[in-house]
Amino acid sequence: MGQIWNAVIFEPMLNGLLFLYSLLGRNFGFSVVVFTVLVRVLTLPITMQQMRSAKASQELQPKLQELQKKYKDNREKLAEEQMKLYKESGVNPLGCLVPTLIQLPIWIGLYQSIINALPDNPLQLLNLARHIYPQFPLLSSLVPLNPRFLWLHLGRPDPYYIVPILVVATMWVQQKMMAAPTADPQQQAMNQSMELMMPMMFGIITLQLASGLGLYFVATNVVGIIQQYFVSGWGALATLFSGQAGPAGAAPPKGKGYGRKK
Amino acid sequence: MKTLHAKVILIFVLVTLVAALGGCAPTATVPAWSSVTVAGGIVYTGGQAGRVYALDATNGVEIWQYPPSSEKAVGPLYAAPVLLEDTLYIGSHDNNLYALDANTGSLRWKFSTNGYILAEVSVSDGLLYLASSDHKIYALEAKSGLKKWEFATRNWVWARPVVANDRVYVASFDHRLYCLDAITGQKLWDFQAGGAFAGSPVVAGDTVYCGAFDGKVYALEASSGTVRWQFQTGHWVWAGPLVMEKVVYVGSLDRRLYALDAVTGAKFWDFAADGLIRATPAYANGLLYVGTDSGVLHALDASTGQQKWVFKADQAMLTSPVVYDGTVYVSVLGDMIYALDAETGVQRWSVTPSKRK
Repeated sequence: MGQIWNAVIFEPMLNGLLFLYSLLGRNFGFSVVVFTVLVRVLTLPITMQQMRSAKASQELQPKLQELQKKYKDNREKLAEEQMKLYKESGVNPLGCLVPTLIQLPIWIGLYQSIINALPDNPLQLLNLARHIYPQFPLLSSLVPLNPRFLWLHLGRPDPYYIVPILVVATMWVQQKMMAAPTADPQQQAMNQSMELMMPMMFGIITLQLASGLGLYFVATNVVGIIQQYFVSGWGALATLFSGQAGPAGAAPPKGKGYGRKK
Repeated sequence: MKTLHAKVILIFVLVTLVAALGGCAPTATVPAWSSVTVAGGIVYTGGQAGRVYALDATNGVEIWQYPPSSEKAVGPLYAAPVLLEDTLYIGSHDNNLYALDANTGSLRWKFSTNGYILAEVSVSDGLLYLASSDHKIYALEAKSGLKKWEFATRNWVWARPVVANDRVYVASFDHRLYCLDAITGQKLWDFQAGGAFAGSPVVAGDTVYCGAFDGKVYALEASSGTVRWQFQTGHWVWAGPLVMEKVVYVGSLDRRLYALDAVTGAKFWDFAADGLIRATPAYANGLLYVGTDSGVLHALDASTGQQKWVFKADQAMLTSPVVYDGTVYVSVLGDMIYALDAETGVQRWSVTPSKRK
């Protein structure tokens, strides 16, 4: 299993990152950012599917809430009717989850690539040797890579905590843009806690991890924000900054992101 | 409600992911391989535990340790201790070079650099030559640790500097092999390869031999750095070459040990080892001993490359074996030291000094 993972995910990513490093003036920070944009472009169909699925789910919310009221004393019937509604609308309730799960290997592979590309001790360097493609002398000639980018050593945590803060901020903005409007207090509470918990969790983890991965998180969030804007506009972020209360129980008009200027 | 469930699952998966990533984060403990030196019936070694041990070569019983068990350990120790008269010198990942009394293990002096020290020191005419990851080479008075000069390369120096004919040869990760005046530290020449130099050079006669991460073994004219020949292997050459009787023996990360003509670079033979070869082989009585990252020690006929015996340890063997008085001493990752019969490979004893109660 480990060998398959290395051959299919990790080693192509690691060597691709090294190749980009050689193309981009031996700047590992730029390489991570460009690599991220490339990965986002390659996974655009998955992301769009995820966003469309999220939007479709949002649009079903009023009908789902009606069903919840109607069958509040009959859970079996409620589940049956919900599934029927999903089926009729062509919406997969797990449609948001699957694309995210598909992206997990990319995150893990990239993290492994960053850590392995920037060895700081002999055992890490030996591990890089195990995964670099020796048939490409250009890649071996790059070792050791320059780990410096702005104030960062990309193989170590950010000493000034700027990257973790950026991770939290960009992830929160993205979460807020993606948030589904709902009148259900339970789901609203869940949404709010998720919008806070997820960025905070990633921020705390970025505090301890290589700042190169934090840079990836920031870059991927920024690209995600841009993509989200073109799908649904500023979403709940617009209402937040305009000082209005969120739309209770109302989904945005079909095909129009609320907050996005047309 | 279904989307709520999906979000709960998503959060669970992401929590698991970030926890897993957190587990991959570099830890405070730096893994290190220990190397051994044997002299006067005593095995000296360091290792990941950050303590230097003197062990009885016949049975592995501890004679002393530095720092004493009651005191905090120093940083992990990659380099083999170097013995000069009654002083033992060893560099540490905590950036310090320690000079210890070889009889008692007490500290005589220490010298601090700005980077971790992974290589053994070289000693010549009362001067120590010390390489550091702060990109520098230091020349120190062996008695006092007083700095005489320093020379800066452009990247880490993980390889032992080699002194010959009043010159110091320094292999750096900046892809250059430097030749310095041993007395003043002035650069006499440098040679640039297509990859980093991580292994120590070796000087034999008027030629310097060294391997690089471009996969090549270079033979350079010691006086000028002019290339005499080069030999291409299939992966990085991290191990320093061993030159015996006009044959260059060198291991590569392509899992092969090569025997090359020291004059022309022509290949005599090569041996497919069980794993990556990171360290210089040892030679004694017509046999070569080479360890691999799979934990295998191969004993080969030096003239033919035929395997005589093989020994399998539990952990990666990333350091050079030492042959002393009919016994091969070799350490593996995890600080375990094996003593094997040099003729047969039969284990005489093994010990992990840091785990002994």
